[in-house]
Amino acid sequence: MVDEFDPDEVAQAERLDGDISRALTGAVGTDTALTWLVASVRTDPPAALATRITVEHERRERARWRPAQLVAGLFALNLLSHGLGNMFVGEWVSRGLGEHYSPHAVREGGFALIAAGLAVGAGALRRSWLPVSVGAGVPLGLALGIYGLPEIGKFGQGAALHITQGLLAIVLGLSWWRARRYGNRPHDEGGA
Amino acid sequence: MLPELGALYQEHAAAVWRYTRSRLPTDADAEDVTSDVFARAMRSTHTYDPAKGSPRAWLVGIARNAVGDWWRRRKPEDPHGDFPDAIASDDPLMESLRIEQIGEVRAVLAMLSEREREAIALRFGAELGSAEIGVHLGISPTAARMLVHRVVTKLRGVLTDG
Repeated sequence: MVDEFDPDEVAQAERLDGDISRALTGAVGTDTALTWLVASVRTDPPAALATRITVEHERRERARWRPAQLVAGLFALNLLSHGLGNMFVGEWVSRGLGEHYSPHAVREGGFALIAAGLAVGAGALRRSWLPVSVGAGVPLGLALGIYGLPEIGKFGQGAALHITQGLLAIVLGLSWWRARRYGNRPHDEGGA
Repeated sequence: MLPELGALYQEHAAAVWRYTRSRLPTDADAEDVTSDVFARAMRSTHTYDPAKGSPRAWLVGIARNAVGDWWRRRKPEDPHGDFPDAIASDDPLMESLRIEQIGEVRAVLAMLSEREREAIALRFGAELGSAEIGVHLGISPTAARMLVHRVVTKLRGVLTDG
């Protein structure tokens, strides 16, 4: 694109541009129109605006991560109840599955599930810990979900527990991914 | 790489605020839109490309869209209608001078076209240079400089006549 302007006017525009830049830095000039424009436009933002923006930002951030935190909390409760079940009703579970009851192994598995439940629950308490929840919960939940499939038609309570764990793992992973993606979502901004 | 919200606000809030205030009828509207601009910015940090311009120019781009959205919601009222209100001053003398001045600004800027007001808001409010104004308005830096020059010349005439 070729601009065709009067060279004299271009020179005047360049001089004015320099004058504007100086006026915007606070330099006092003799051009009353310029002084008037700068003074009328250059006001400072209200002090309360910074607080408002910070509060609003925090509110949006909480809302963004809330679904993932809620799912992490539910999944943690599920794993904790599974672990406690192993410790206190392990024999009933073994009977339901028609397997030999091995208290030592079942209780140790219970401890591991409680520890996993605490790790998954960490993200429910603080959103910065959600990666821990996802890293621990998603692979474990998927593995438990798949591992429990043979229990369908054999031990209903066990199948329901494992399918729930698999679903919670999927929902946890998806809600975490969605919250992350939302934070970097293309919006209708223009800009440079 | 963009700074965090606090640093971004610290450095560019005044420019965004002055731009929105130059384009909207009241300080309350400018506060709403400025708040919205920073919320949008934090959701869209990935759209910032340092190769395409400064963080300020990027924020002003977001502000332009936010102001456009505000006016679209407000239609069919006249976008040339009002110039922003002054911030109240504790000093009665300063306050009366300010009100008098802002009243005059309103009257004068209402005589400008939408494009001319935009140029004034970008140069005096957002304090962008000609190259960045040109990018926003889709014209060359020289054309942007000429536009600002012509608007200021026009305003000089209005002020002298007044």
